[in-house]
Amino acid sequence: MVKIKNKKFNAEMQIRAIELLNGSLHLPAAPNTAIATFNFNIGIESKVDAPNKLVFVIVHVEIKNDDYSLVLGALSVSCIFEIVNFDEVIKIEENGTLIIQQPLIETLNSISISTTRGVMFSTFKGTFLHGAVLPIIDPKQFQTGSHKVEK
Amino acid sequence: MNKTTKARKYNSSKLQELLDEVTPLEMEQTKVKMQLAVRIEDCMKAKGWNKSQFAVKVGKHPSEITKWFSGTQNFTTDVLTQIASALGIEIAALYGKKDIQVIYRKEIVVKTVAPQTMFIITTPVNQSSGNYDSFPWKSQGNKTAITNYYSA
Repeated sequence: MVKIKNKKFNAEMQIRAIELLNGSLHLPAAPNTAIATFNFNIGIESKVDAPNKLVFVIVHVEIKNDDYSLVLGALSVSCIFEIVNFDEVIKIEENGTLIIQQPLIETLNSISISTTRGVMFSTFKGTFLHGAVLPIIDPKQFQTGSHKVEK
Repeated sequence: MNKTTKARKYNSSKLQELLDEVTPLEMEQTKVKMQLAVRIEDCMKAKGWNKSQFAVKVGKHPSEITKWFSGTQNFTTDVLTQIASALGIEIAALYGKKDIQVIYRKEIVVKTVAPQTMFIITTPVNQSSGNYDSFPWKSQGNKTAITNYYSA
């Protein structure tokens, strides 16, 4: 259990589970040709199970070659967080709309991306994607225009 | 000579004929029935009940429960209400609708240039002793983990 204090939020959380949802390799036609540049399409989706105080952050990574013409591999990891003080950091309005603070989203996303990076390295080590290490991502990129998502 | 192993494609005209006879609607109906059966079984297990105990709760014979779980049962609304009531959940929950909301979704594209020798998995075994000629990890040659350069 860890308490993360911030000017904007004070969350007490723990990781309940890390699940590798899928992983795949697509060997290119000329496997001996070294691939120097990788492009990563990262999709992040967060879901909340309010009754159980759980937040699911699912990270989908698609690895593509330099010119985006080939999908070299894909991996999806789900990080399940239990937010102990759920009611304090995630507000549920009467119409069911959830209000989650952006700093908390960024924190959960950062942890999940880092976890995915590790799982990805472990999954792809020794393959032609050995060097495809997920780059560090600026948390500012996680920002969205709105914090509200309708039910 | 390199031997390549490929997944064998299985084509059967009979199988295709059978699949062609199934309409998308029938396919969906079967899928819903199967999902419903699985959901009921999951909820039963979550309660810690076995089939016999569940049968008692819903006032049915255990063989009826087995039939329900087969995924072929066409449940009536009354039966579903009875099941949901016994399980202490709403009927909607039996259809897999959980209280889970998507609160965030984002797509990010990043690029990296992979340095070819940046990440090397090495073994702590001392290969210079000459006793490990057949050791499978010797293929790492004289490469050393970068972390080793920073060791005290």
